[in-house]
Amino acid sequence: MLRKIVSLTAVLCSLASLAGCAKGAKIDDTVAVTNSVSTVGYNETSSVIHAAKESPVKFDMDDKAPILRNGEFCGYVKVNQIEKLGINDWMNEKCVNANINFSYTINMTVVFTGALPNDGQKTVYCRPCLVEGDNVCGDPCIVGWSGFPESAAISENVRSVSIEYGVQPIKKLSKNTELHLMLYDSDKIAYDTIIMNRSIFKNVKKGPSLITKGTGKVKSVNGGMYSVGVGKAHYEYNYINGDTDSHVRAFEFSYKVSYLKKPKNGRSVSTFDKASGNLLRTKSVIGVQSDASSELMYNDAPYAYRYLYADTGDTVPYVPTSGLKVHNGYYAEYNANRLLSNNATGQPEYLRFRFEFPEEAESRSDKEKLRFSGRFIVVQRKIVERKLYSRNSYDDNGNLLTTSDENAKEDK
Amino acid sequence: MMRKVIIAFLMTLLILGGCGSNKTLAQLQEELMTVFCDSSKIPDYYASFAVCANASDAQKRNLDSYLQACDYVVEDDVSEKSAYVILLRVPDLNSVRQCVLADSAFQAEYNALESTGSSEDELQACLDAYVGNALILGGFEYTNVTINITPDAVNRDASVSLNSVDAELTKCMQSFLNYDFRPGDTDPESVLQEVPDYTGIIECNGLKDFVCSWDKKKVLVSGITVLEGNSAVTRLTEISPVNASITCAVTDTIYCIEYTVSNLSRKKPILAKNAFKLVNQDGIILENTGLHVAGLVGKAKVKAGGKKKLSCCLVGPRDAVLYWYEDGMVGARSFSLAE
Repeated sequence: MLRKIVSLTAVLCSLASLAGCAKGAKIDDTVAVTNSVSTVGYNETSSVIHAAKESPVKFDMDDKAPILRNGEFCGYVKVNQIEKLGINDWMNEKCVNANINFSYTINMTVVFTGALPNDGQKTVYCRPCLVEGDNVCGDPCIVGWSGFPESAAISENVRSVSIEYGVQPIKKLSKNTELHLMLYDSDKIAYDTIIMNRSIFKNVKKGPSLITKGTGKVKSVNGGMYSVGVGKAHYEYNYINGDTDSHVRAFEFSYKVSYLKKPKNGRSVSTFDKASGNLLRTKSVIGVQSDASSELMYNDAPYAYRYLYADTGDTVPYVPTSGLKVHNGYYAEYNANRLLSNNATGQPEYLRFRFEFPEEAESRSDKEKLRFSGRFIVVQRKIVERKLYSRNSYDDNGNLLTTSDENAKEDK
Repeated sequence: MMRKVIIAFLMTLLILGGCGSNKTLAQLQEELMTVFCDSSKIPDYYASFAVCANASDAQKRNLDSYLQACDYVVEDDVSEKSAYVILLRVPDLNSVRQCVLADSAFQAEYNALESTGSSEDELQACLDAYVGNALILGGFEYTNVTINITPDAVNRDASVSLNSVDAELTKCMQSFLNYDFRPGDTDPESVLQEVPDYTGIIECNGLKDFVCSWDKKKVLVSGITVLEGNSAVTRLTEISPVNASITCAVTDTIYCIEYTVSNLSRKKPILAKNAFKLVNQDGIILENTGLHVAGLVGKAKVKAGGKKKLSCCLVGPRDAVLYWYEDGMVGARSFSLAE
């Protein structure tokens, strides 16, 4: 038995030894591979590095143009749309002198992935300009309301913001004109300028023009429609709360909002009062700018009074404090004003009225906003003298009488 | 560092004066290094500069930090118009200012001082402290000042060369002392950078993210890491153990490069492929022989707006230069890996 066990053990050992040899051979193979030194060399090719005529990389409309600073990637800018507006930046002397009556507006999405300061907030500005060779031939501008912010407010939670800014050519564009996007942020950090291909101007959409006659029509996201227009514009002294010792200069104007069509779908826009059967709220947000100052004025001053008659010192308030809601087919007309600061200088001749529709913008996606008919409704009016009549020209209800009425009143 | 440059330069000139002008660049740099190692040889040179006469103590301290932050490179002049070229790298003052203004601690402290109606001196002291801090911490950009040293100057009159260095430094110091680092007065738009006028291959100091385009492909190359020599082999072995066997001649070096390529088109996919190359001193592109490296990704299809990681292994002589280059590429560049 012992002999058998010994024999069996010997056989098993032999088998194990054989198996070991086999395994060992495998290991040896591997070792042979890993131990074999693969010396790598190099050859000269027939190619030589040549300093080709280089230029910075230029981007197309469909590209994600990287935001770089000192070679550090901080995000992207995407150009979504370029529109050619029939509105120029009348504050830009060079463009006015060159008789250029259009500008471009560029919609972009800024995606900022870079580090934020400790407060977690950063505003990124992207300013377009046109460049031809070494010369700037177009300046950043804002000529109207686009529905988009002018700069991107970035925070930890909001890393992507669509913005819109304009560029005002100051000379006719040539085939060498390039669009540059200049980037900087609220911490005064500048990023590498992004250069767009000249070909992007082939994709320019035709946008709205300056309204000098008629009205602008606005189609709401709910299918409703209304129009806005501006009446006459005046420039005269007003009196704070009727006190003729405290005069202030003011732009006066009237505007009219007409309800043209009822909403057709269930989309909610607060311009339409659903609770009262979709009455239209007609009080509008209007930024007023004169050709003498770049200041954009928004606030009505209902406490300002103006003369009522040509022949008396009576003053009256003329700006309502609240707005009206109107039915479909009706309109509301308002008197409005903008007070000038005491240090305002210049002799204004024209006023521009930029209508804004924040409620419509709120209820739309960015894509829908790009197609919104309320973008860039800018009305221009020449300032005219307000015609005042004598007290006798009005009836007891304050209505202006015709010449025959006046005669009858005098006879009476 | 600048002090070192001056003194080193002075000593070099003395050495050159003794040895003649037939020194090689390597010899010159070796001598410079010898001088730098012994700081006791560096006198307080700048205190004698006239521009420092009216500077406050804080300004002088900051000036010292400013000069310490400077760096230099001495090169043979390839155009051979001069014997040597000294490239001074001085901190860009606007960039330093941006670093200071971006510091939230500075903002908080400065605003607090302003709101409490502190005096101009207190505000200036606060500003000076943070400017000094920014100069020590770094993170700002540099601008280069080139000083050409002519063979005549080297051989004939040491003071001519030294004067040209002095003149450049005086200008830099004057600019620093006159620079207004205060916040608020500058329009944010004034920091906008001009578009550099690229001609030829772009020379880059260090590895930075960049964009380039070729064959209608526009890509962002980012997150570049370059490992050299043993580190490269170690990394290659991590990628695949099979690569442990890779070696190269003693006179050569091996690089392992990893990076991310982003397709900047929002509509079209691209086939991205490696464009890192080693180029010899004659500008000839080198190709590897006998290189079978496992686990590397030399090319990849990148969907519109997407990104992929690529990697490559390059072998070449030690003086070869790393390029990102393809024929007809816009944004091709060479890298100086000294940093």
